[in-house]
Amino acid sequence: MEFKKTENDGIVIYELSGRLDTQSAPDFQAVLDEGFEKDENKIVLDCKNLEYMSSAGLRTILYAKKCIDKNETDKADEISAQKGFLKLINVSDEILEVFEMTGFSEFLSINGSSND
Amino acid sequence: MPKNLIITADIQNWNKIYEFITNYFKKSNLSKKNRFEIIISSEEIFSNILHHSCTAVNDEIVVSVDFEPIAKMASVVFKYGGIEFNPLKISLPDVSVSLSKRKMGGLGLLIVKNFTDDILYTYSGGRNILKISKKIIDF
Repeated sequence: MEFKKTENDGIVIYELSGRLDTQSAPDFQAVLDEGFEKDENKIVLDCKNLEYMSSAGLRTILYAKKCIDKNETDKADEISAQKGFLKLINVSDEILEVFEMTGFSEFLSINGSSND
Repeated sequence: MPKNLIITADIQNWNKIYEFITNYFKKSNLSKKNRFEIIISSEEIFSNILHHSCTAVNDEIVVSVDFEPIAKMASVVFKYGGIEFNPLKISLPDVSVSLSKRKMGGLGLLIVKNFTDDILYTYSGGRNILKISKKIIDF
């Protein structure tokens, strides 16, 4: 998998392409970790060019969501403008089906139709 | 006509399996959606084999693919030595629990069960054989 990282007004956008799979997921998780260490907690994953996502990818997404939520709890007193989030946009029907069957769609914001 | 790929139990070999399975089912004219579901299921099986059975990277795994147009059945078979391991014994996760209570184990098998029609496991002569089959309705 390859990705392009851009930042706009405190929002970090990762444009993912290829496969978020058992080979690439650990590397991408390390990239996200580097961002979390720099307090990057407004994350958008653009999945327009993502071919597929296996359970290894799901684990990385869950990890990121928990990190952001934990950060929110730790900084509960800060103003709402600082609130972090994780959004997935341009998710294909196939990948969306994986999110739905695993129940991930219940707690993730996907394609802009937030369930949060 | 079935085809075989022989590889070692190294995570780096997933790409070879991906290309092998994708090319075979592309030539068999399976739709993108069907290929997606077979590929993701195959990855989950391969990943589980590496974690639970073939823990040495030089362990051999034989991957066989087949599509029978008359029966409209696509299949992928994994034959591997290593420790006796039946993925079907993995507990499925409760997908209804909240995020904080989520456990990650079993997600792969859940995906395989949803995307395939049959999973068959046997162990004989020190060899694990795992076959996943998918009915191709729209072929």
